[in-house]
Formats: sequence, C-alpha cells, structure tokens
Amino acid sequence: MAAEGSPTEAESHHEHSSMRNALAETASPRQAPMRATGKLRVSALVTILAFCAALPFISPPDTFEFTIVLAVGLAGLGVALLLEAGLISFGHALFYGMGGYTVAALAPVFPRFGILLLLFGGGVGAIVAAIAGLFIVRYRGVFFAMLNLAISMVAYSVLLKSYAISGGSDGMVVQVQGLVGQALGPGAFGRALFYVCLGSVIVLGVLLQCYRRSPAGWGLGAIEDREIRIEYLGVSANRLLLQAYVISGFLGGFGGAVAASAVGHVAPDDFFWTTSTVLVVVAVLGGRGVVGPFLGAALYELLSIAAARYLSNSWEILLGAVILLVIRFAREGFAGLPDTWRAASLQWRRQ
Amino acid sequence: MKAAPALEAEHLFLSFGGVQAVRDVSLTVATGEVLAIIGQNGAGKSTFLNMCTGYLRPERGAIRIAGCSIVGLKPRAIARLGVARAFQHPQIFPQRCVIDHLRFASAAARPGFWNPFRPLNSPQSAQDVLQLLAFFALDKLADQPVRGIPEGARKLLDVAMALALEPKLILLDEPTSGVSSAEKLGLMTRLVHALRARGVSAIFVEHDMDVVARFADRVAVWVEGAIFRVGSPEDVLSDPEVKEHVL
Repeated sequence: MAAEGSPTEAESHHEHSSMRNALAETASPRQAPMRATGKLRVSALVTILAFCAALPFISPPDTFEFTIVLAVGLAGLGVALLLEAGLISFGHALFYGMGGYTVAALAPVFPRFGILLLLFGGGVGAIVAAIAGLFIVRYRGVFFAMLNLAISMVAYSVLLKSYAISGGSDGMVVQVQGLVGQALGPGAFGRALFYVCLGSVIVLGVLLQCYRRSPAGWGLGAIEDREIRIEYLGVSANRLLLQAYVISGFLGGFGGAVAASAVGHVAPDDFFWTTSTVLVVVAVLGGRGVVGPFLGAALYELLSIAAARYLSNSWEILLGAVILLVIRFAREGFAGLPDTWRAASLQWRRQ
Repeated sequence: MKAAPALEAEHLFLSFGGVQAVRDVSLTVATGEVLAIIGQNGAGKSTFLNMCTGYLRPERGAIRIAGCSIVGLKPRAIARLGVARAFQHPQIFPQRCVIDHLRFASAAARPGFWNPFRPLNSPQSAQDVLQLLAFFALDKLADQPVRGIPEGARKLLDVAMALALEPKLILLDEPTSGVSSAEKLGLMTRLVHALRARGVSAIFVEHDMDVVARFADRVAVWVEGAIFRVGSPEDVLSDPEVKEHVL
C-alpha cells in the first residue's frame, strides 16, 4: 500500500536529469543581470580603492584623518558583522581600546615592527572576544547590547584606577617608529601606516567576504530570522555567534591598534561607551556588508570636520539629523543606497 | 545482533500546568518504517514530536534514537544523531533565497561546515541541492527570497531542508497542510518513495486520511494525550471506535 504510485528508479532518475538540464538552461539568462551587477560593483570598488590609494598625494596633510577613517571603519566592520545577526554591541570599544593598549604596551619591545604590533592588537582583541564571548553570546537583544557595554565599562574603570600599569586617566604614549624594521620620520611613518592599513583593509575585507559567503556566515544572518531552525539543522547558533564575535573582536583590536599607532597615544576614553557609540553610528550610517562601515567612518569624519568648522558647540545636532535621514530614507545605510533606490523605483513604477 | 529501532518511546508523561498533554505514551518505530499519527487538534501529537526533537523534555519516560537516549539533549544534538524535522508552520528564513536554504542544510550535514573559507555553494553539495530542488519542483523559485513564494512552496522547502540533512529518522508535522489538494498525493508519493529508497524512517502527523491510508505502514491514533490504537491503516481506519473518536 505504501509503495502505491511510487515512481520507478529510472523514471525518477530521468526526471531529475531533465530538471537539472532545465535548471541549467534557465540559469544563464537569470544570472546574466546578476553578473553585470557584480562586475559593476567590483569596478566601483576598484575605483574607490584607487582613489583611496591616491589620497595621501591629493591631500598630504589629511593622511592622518584617512588612516583614522580606515581604523574606525575596521572596528565598525566588527559591529556591522554582529548586526547581520540582528545583534547590536554597545561595548565594542573594549576591543578597540585593547588593541590600542596592546600596541602601547608592546611598542617599547618592537618599536620598529608596527605591522607586528597591529597583528598583536587584533590578536588580543580576538582573545578577549573569545573569553568574553563564551558568556555574552548566550544572550540576545538588549541583554547582548548591555552586557557588551557593561564589560567595556568595567575595563574602562580598571584602566582608570590602575595608574601604575595604564597611566590612569593620562593614558600611555605609543612609540612606534617603523613598520617593517626601519625607523621612519613622522611624515613617512604616517604615509606608510596609511598604506599598510589600506592593504590590511583589502585583505581583511576579502577574507571577511569569504566568511560571509560560507555556511557559517550565512547561518549568522539566519540567526536574526529563525534561530530555532538553525538548531534543528544540527548547528549551534551560539557557536555561530561566537565565531563572528571573535572575528569582530579581531577587527576591533586591529582598528584600535592602527588608531593608537597613528595618534601616538592611548587613554581609557578609548574604552568609554561614547567610543562604542561611535562604532555603532559608523556601522548604521554605512550599512551592512564589507564596504559600508568604511563609508560610514568617512561620513562620520566628514561630519566631524564640518561640525568643528560650523557647529563647534552643537555638532551632535548635525550628527543626529544625518542619522535620522539615514534611518528614514536609507535603512540599509549608505552602502545599501543603490538597492534602496532600485526597490523604491520598482515600487514607484508598479504604482 | 538485531539493530535497535529507529525510535523507542517508553511511558512518556508531560503536562502543561493542569493539562496532561502526554499520558503514558509508548511507541516504537522500526528502521525504514513510515508511521502516521492521527488525532484531533490538541491530542498531543505535536507535543510528542517536540519531545522527540528535544524542544520539550518529558517529565517521565525514556526516548531512544537508534538505541541512544535523547532525553535532556538539545535539538541540535538530536539532529546530529540523524533526526530531522519539518514543521506544521514552515520554519524558514524569509529574507533568504530558496536555494540557499538547501545549501545551508546540506552544508550542516557535512564535515567542513565551520570552515570560514568554504563557500556555501560548494561543489560537494551542489548536485544534491539541485536534485532536491527538482524533486520538490522548487527549481523555478530557486533564486527567489522565500518571503515572496506561495505557502505550499514554503512547506515543500521546509521538508526539503529536513531531507537535505540526510536523516535516519524524519518527523513531519502535517507535511501536506498548505499544499494544494492536487499536489498533495504527488508530493507524498515522491517523498515516501525517496524515504524508502534511502531507508529513512518517518513519523508524520496527518489529518488527511486518504494520505494516511496510502502511505503509512502503521497508524497511531491519539486521543487526549494517549495512544488510543496502533495498527495497520486498514485495521485502524476501519475501527468503529476510531471512527467515532477521531474521524
């Protein structure tokens, strides 16, 4: 009875083959526009990167600001990664500050090997994230956000009180003199740091994109939709989140290490909640994805410069207005504007 | 040595507040067997499936999958033992496209899932994913986000995801609800054929007695949290007491 109406093996095989062929035939026209869009995006990305590489020559005095944009963008990328799981961290200053203090602590040991120091900064960020993450990734929503904030503020207080180790509220001077073994003058060091940072952004961006396209990266985004289904597929949602959290910690630590090397000083304020908020704002302004947070960081820096010039005492008004506009008209952030416009245009045509 | 049954449930009890949802349920499903569970709404059918997949823990009793006790295990640990589940209301990811659901489920069943450099669309699983898409006639919807596809297709995708895990035991909660009556028998014919070809045991909760009669090896009738009858579809569905209480 149970086998009644069952197709034979041969029929089934023939059916599968014909369906596969049909799928292959229909795949090409369907994928053609996607390939064109992909090529357009790659071209735009290459153009942006070429422009970035030329910035120190276009405006040499602003090389420091460009480096800070990349550093904050890297840390914001870590926050944006967690946003893919629908989780917001108000404590990523912890990793940003850890990266900076690691450079400050190790710079006297490796003063001319700045690249090594940046990697150490990222590594410490990842280790701290792995330890804190074991606890934090068990929570969702507001609890996740607040636990991150709490831990970063604990670190802030400890640093503030540990004057002998951290210099207390005065912070520490960061004495990095070179990147790959040779001592450099301030101008040359600034330019070299910018290019090392730009190269790191490209490498880390490619690696992160690989991760986002892996099953674990896909699963991270699916946590927001339906976490229980992931568990029913035999995958631990907490482990997915921990993996992302460690990557996020590395990015935060690396960004903090770059910023500390560029600024030449670290202070407990790097751990303060306002720094975490900046990283969240950068992620929200730029949008999800690998490019978004760098656009967000650039916009944030531009806003800071414009506000310092025209609204020095109330620049939060300008920032607040821009955030409101982004939330109202570009939910996916600046990186998502093309998609937002395309969707709006389609809807308008249908109406 | 005789192989352990695919599922053994012994003297299960579970209550919610004052309501006894499951009362002294004992059930065995042999390897390769297809068992249908029928009963009125609220009889405890889905609660039983929830206990078998670790979502709910029985107050008393034992559940073994292929001889391994699963009481107290989390859903993911039970899934790794080879138990897959499809839901009455499809549990899928609305923002994601159809084909990626199957790629993810297929990746979850294979080694290398945690490799961050392994693409979701890996060559190892690509063929299986295409076969599943074709098998459930979802190939034309492959690139569409699931929030825009019909309810019947969502249901099929939910079942396809469960099958992509290459399970030893599959639990299907009303697999044909939401599927049009014209497609219902065709779907079940192909599904049960696929399960039998792979030697997969199955439990399916169903309200359509025609589907039950055609595809089940055995039928368990549930009334008020307890098993009322178990037997072949011919015997059970023609039982006057079953007709009176359930049908």
